[in-house]
Amino acid sequence: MKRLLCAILPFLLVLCGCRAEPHVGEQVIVTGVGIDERDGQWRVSLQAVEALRTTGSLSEQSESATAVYTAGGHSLADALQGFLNETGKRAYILQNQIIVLSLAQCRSRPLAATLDYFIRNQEGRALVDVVICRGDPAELLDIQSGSDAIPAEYVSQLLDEGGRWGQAVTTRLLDIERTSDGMYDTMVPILEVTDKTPQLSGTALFRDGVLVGELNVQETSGLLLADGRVQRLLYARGDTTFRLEDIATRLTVEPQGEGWQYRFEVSAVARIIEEEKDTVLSEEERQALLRETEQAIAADMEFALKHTVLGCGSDPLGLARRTAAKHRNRGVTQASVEAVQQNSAFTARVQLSLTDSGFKKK
Amino acid sequence: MDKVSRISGGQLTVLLLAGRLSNCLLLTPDSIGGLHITDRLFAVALNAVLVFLLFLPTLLLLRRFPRHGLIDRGYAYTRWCGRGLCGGYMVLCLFILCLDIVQFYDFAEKVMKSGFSVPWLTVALIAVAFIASSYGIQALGRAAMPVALFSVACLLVFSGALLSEMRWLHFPPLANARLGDVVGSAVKELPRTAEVVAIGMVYPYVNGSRWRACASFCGLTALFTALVSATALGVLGDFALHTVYPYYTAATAVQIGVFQRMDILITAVWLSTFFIRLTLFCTLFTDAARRLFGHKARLWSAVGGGVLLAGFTLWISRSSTAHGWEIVTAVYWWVLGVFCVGLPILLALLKRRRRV
Repeated sequence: MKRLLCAILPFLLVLCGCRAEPHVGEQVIVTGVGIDERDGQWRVSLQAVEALRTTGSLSEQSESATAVYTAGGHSLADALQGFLNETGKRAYILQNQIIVLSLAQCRSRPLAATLDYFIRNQEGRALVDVVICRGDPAELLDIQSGSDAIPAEYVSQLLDEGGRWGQAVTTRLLDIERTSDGMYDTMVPILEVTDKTPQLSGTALFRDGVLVGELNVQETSGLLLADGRVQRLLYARGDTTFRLEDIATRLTVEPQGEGWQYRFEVSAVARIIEEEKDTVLSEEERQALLRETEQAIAADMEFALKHTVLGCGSDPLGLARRTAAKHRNRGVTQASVEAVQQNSAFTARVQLSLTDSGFKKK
Repeated sequence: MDKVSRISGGQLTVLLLAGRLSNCLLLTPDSIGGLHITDRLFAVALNAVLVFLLFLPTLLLLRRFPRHGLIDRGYAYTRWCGRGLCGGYMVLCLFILCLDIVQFYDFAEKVMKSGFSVPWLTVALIAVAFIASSYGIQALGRAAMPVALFSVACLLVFSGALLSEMRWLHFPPLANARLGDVVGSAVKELPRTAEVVAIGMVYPYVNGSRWRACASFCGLTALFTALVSATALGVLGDFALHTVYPYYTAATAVQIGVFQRMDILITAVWLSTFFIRLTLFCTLFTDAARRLFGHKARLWSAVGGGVLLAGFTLWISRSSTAHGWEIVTAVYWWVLGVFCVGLPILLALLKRRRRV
């Protein structure tokens, strides 16, 4: 017993327990961070849960349980210190779910440099979503949602669903950390706020952390299809809307001239989910429509790939790395592929198999 | 530690494995050696073979004397030889403990950042390890079992949870590096396996097949090192080479349902396995001290060893440089050469002079 006490005592001496921890009233629980730059100064917006506004659990709230604070400084850390000086409260970022960057911020500074504070800070989460807002990041943090008491959660769900349906890329802080090493480039979803409602607006393309271009939502779908990241996709052709499921993408790469020829083959099951016409399409008409759809999707993919790789010089799919991996026996390296990336050619082939929707119009 | 308290071969495997897992979890870019994952797996397998080869001289020497360790063999030659070995093993244990605690200090300072005083925590840890060592190797062997099971369960759950974060793009093709790099990485890892020098002292306290225990230890170590490496590099890719502790960084991305930031669990696993490793070498230190100074001096030698260790560790932790670590690695090579190969061969050649 004595020996056991002796074993426990030294640990008791060094344990700090809760004594040194700040009281809940001395800190704000941050659920979203907005970063903007104006006149060379950083402007940080913090979406924080307002403890006094909430009654019961957060899921029972009828309106947003958060407020947005802003602070400025010559760096992110300085702005957060400014927030502390103004409000007397420390920003607690463990519960942070989203980091919103302004387009101006992305144009003026490399992505890793902007997010360096969060990359180094072990208090935050690695899986926090990163998005770009076309307007003021504070606007996106201050949206009203009837379904979610915390707007950051709403935006996070919007991005998740957008990712599943091929409408948006989902980028987390971990993705930006990983791409800082040059394996592939970053893409970040862009949102815009219209009447206090966020909408997916496209994708920002980066090269070595520098913003180099954008894709709209349809082009984003094309790029995500090429990357094989899409689970489901809605595609409207004429009066008919298809839902693509069981999507699989295969890439073959061969040398061609001074560059490389990338062939993307996508196979998917297409299900008709809506026909606006009263008349029933014959089987031949359906098959013809399906072939048209295949060509249209392939064209979207090719356009997105050419615009991204050749137009903007960005390589978010890691094509150079994949090429080097597949052709390393010929002495091909990632750097050598990147050097001739502009001479590359992209072709896409889509093969859809129509499945019965289980419903037939009379 | 007396020879009445014994552990089984299985317990020896688990005891060594639990200690090794603490090193394995603190995977550093230096230990990856710039290798990609598939090459790293080759290096890990090769390392397991090399570690087993280092066990061989001691196992071959002691197989004829199942109740003797290397110190007993030294006493069998002359008393002074036995005493010299006791002193040598005491210094060796302090050296290994010192390096381990310096690593603990580094981890606590860079990663844990919990607001407590790291030097005080280090001193407390050393004190607790020495106190725990007084319970003997049997208690340690029993304690190692739940720790190892918990650690292995956590590793498997973490790897499963991180599968969604792994991308094929992070995995270059098989045999991407040159053979020399793979061999270099496997050899570079050897000084981290301090367990091979422990077998010379633990041997007489083990019942059952020590060969099987050592082989199982090598196999299981390779398996879990490969798992940890694959998880860290599969999640982080090349970025793993630019983080201080890649596996810990990868573990911050674990998300199981609503549970996030489960890296705290890895810290807990690491601390518990580290404690087992620390206590093992404290136990060996006090055992060697008992053989040298007698049973009554055991307490004072433990206190003296603890004070020396704490002072030396804190001094090194605050002044360690890259050049210093190169010297330490070179010393480790000598230690492995002397205690794993040279000493068993020398004792095999010397003729037994007296009965012990």
